[in-house]
Formats: sequence, structure tokens, C-alpha cells
Amino acid sequence: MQSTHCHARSWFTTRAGRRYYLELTLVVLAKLVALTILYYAFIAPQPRTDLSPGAVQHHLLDANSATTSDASP
Amino acid sequence: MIDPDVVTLSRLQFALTALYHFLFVPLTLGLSWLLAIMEAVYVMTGRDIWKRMTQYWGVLFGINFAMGVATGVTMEFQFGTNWAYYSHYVGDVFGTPLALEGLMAFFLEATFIGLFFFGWERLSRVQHLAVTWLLALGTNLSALWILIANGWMQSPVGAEFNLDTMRMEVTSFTAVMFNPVAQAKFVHTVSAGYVLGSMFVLSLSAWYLLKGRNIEFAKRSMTVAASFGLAAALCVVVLGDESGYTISANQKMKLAAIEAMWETESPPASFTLFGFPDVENRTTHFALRIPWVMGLIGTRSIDTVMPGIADLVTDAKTRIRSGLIAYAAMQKLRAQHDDAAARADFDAHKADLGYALLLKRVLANPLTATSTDIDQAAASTIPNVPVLFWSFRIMVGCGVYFIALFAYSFWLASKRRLDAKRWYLKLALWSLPLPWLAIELGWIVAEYGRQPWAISGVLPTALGVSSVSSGQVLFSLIGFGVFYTALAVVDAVLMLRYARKGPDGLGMWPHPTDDRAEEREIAVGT
Repeated sequence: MQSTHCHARSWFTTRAGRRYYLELTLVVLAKLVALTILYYAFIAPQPRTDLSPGAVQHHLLDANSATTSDASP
Repeated sequence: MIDPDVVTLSRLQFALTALYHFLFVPLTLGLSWLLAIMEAVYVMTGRDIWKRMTQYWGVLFGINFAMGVATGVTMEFQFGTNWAYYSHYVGDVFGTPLALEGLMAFFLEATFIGLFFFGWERLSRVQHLAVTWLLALGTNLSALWILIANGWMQSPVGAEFNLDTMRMEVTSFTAVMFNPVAQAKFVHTVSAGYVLGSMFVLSLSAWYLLKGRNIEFAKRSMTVAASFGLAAALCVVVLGDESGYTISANQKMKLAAIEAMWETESPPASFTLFGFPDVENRTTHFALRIPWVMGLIGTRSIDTVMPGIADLVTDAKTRIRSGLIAYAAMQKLRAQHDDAAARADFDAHKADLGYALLLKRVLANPLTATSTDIDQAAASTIPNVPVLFWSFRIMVGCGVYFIALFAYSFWLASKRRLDAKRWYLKLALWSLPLPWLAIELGWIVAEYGRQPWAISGVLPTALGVSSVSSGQVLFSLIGFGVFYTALAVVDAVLMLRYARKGPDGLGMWPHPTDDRAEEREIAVGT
């Protein structure tokens, strides 16, 4: 097996490199937290659309189909 | 009847999140191959500067990746919240490519990106090079699956409507996977990403040269970007032509709208280079036409007719009437499954069922449609002509400009005169936003041009929306807006900070322990 990369230390193990990793990790963590908040604040409270066979038939076929009224959890 | 505000807001929300997500994706696609090329040169030559280049551009790649990852997750949220009927109707087909995209993106790509960053001191040169190439491959493969899903929305092959489940179901996954529209779309999209990645490296390197910093580092980076960018820019045009040719088979209205071709011309049709489409009077003012070109591009023949918008609307009326027969038969079959006459009617007209569903936008029961309703529904198959006309032309104009810029850069690189002309460096720097503009416009042409369909000819967009209120969609739209604005600010701050610091400011090049490295590189000139 070949030896690892040349003599010089990888930049990623220097102080600047470690700071870079830290910043990216914080960004990703903050984003995951934001997405979780977003989900619980905006997505979870929304009523789930009824996708039972009857509801789908009603949506596509029946004369009185309406998309804003028949939401049921 | 369907609430138009829910449809508009749901479309707006999806469009905004998709356009935002696609600010990151093409840079990841393009930079990954540039990293692979730079590292390959490092492994072949053993010269440290190429390793540093890989690492520096890898730093910016990492920021883009970290900022972009999971920005597409909100689109998955929306499939459930705003597009529940769409998800039900096409989930059997759409789900598999999306799942595979997730596997490719989150497993393959994430694994190799970890090895790319943490493997520099743990892997051999060749092993690390293999990781970088696999990272690029994984990134591009994840794009393949999402574009297969999107390609199916443009050209729904390999699936059929199931009367019992009331949804589209896969009949041939091979046909879905090797859908010519999806394949053409994939290669066109990824090559546009390569152009963007190349422009990113070219522009930032030009900035370093303007500032007199990292000279040898920037020159080498520009040489790679110019070569790869020129090849990619040429590919984008050729593959874009192929993409246009594939839509001429099943999205004739989109093509006619892009061309503002109001009436059918005798073949081969002319290409409108410039003009002002007038939707009300169905004409194009001050049109500058080039004979034959559109016919040759769109049909690759000199005698195939390309229908204009008026004829396509007439065709849509016929298909709506045919679809209504399928719709009536479907109602009978739902009530009495063994009605042979209804089954025969349904089988004969099911290909046009989607056209009858267009009437659901304005009528609760399409079977009560009058001629006026049918005329209106047929007219609704015309997408927004001026938006498509101009988006397409600006995109193509950018594409031609990229070829010229990269060709000139390549010529300067071959003469080793990349830093000789300051105007060129400024031009390269200020060209940075253009690939993003061209790519976003490309998506607008593709998706806005598909309207009024969510699935071309199969499912009208309006029928795909969930049973939600416009207030609920607006509420989540505001939430997404705040989230994405915050992300954009963080991204801009991080990217600018690391770009401004540059390899020298980060202590990456010349290496701190070797302050004569740059001089030696100049002398060797590799």
C-alpha cells in the first residue's frame, strides 16, 4: 500500500481547518434544528388530506368535489 | 371547485423552494468533477500545489454542500402537505426514483464527502483520489434519479392509470428509467452544473489575479476551469438541443410557446431570434426570424410540420371531448365494474382522460361542460408565452456567451497569458452570476412550460393540490421564506469569508512551512 499523502500536514487538521469543520457542523446542526422547528410549527399542525379510496373518487369523479372543505385528519 | 389561491400559493411555494435548492445543486455537481480533475493531476505529477488546489476548492465545495444539504427536504414536506392528491396519483411511479435519489444523495454522497475531508492523512494518494471520483459520481447519480422523476412528469412513459386504485401505476420501470426525455434532461442539467462549477473557479481565480494574490494557484485553477468549462459549455448546447428535440414529441405546446409560434408554419419552421409576443392578439411584434432553423432543431427534418399554438388548442379541444368519454365510462365502471361497453369506451379514450380533468378547474362535474367550457379548458393548455419566450432566449444567450468566454479563456491559458488583460479578468469575475441565472431560467422554461399540467397530459396541476386552505399554505410559505432567507445570509457570509481569505489567507498556499513553494512552482510551471 502506498504511504499516505506527502510530508505536509493536511490543512484540515490545522487550527483553521478545525474551525472550518466546527463552522460547518454548527451550520448543519442549526439547519436541522430549524427544519425540525419548521416541521412542528408549520407542517404538523396542518390537517392531513384524506386519501382514502372514497375521498380520491370524490376528488376526481364526483360532481361536488371540493379541495378546501373536506380535510380530515 | 378548486380554490385557485391554493393552487397558486402551492405552486409558488414549490417553485421558490425548488429554485432556491437549485442554487446549490449545480455548484456541487460541477465542483465535484473539478476537484476530481485537480486531484488526478496531483496524483500524476506529485506536485503539492495541485493537492492544495483540491483542498482549497474543496473547502468552498464543503460550504456549498453543507448549506445546500436538506434544502430539498422542504419539497418532500410539500408533497405531503400541499400536493397530497398529486402524491397519491403518481406516487407509485414517483416514489422509487425519489427513494433512490435519497439513497444516492444521503448514503453514497455523504459517505464519500466524509472520506474526502477526513481522509487526507489516512488514505493513500490513489485511495483518496478514488474517493474524490466516487464523490463526484455519487453526486451526479443522485441528480440522475431526481431527473428521472422529473422527466416522467414531462413525458409519463412506463405507467398506466389503474381504475381500481384511481392512480397511475408502473407498468415498466425500465421505460421510466430509460425515458429519453429524462436521459436528455439529465445530461443537459448536469453539464449546466459543470459550466457553473467552472465559472465559479474561473471567476474567483480571476479575482485573485486582479488582486495580485495566489498567482500560480489561480492560473492553474483557471486553466482547469477554462478547459472543463469549454467542454461543458459545448455539451450544454448540444444536449440542450437534444432535450428540445425530445419535448417536440410529447410537449408540442411547450415548444410552440417557447417559440411564440402562434400559427402552424409550412415546414421547416423558422426560428424567432427576437420579438415581442403579444398574447392578446396572438402575434409576435418586431419578430426577427431565421428561416428553417426551428424546423431543423425541433424535428431534424425539412418536411415535418411543427404545429402552432392555434392548431394545438384545436387538438386539445378534440382530446377534451375524447377524455370526457373516458371520464363518463370511468364513472360507470366505478358503479358497475363489469360494464363491458363502458370498459371498451374507457380503454379507447383513457389516453385523453387527463384532458377531461382540465375541466375540473372550473366545473365540479366535467360532464356538464358546454362548448364554451371546453374552449376555455383548451385555451388553458397554453402556458405563459412571454415568460417562456424570454426565459429561453436569455438562457440560450448565456449559453453562447459561456462558450465564447471559456474558449477565450482556454486560448489565453494555452498562451500562458491568463493574467495579461485586466478587462478579461474583470469580465470573468462579473460573469459569476450568469450560470445561476441561465440554470434557473432553464428550470422556469421546463416547469412553467409544462403548465397547466403536473404530469404532462395526465394530471392537471390544479387537481394535484391538497385539501388545505390558502391561509395554511400562506402560513407555511412565510415559514419557508424566513428559513431560506436566513440560510441565504449564512451562506453568503461563509462563502464570501472563505473566498476572500483565499488559499494564502487560510494558510493553505504557499504552505506555512515552505515559503519558497510558489517560486518553485513558477520555475517548474506544471
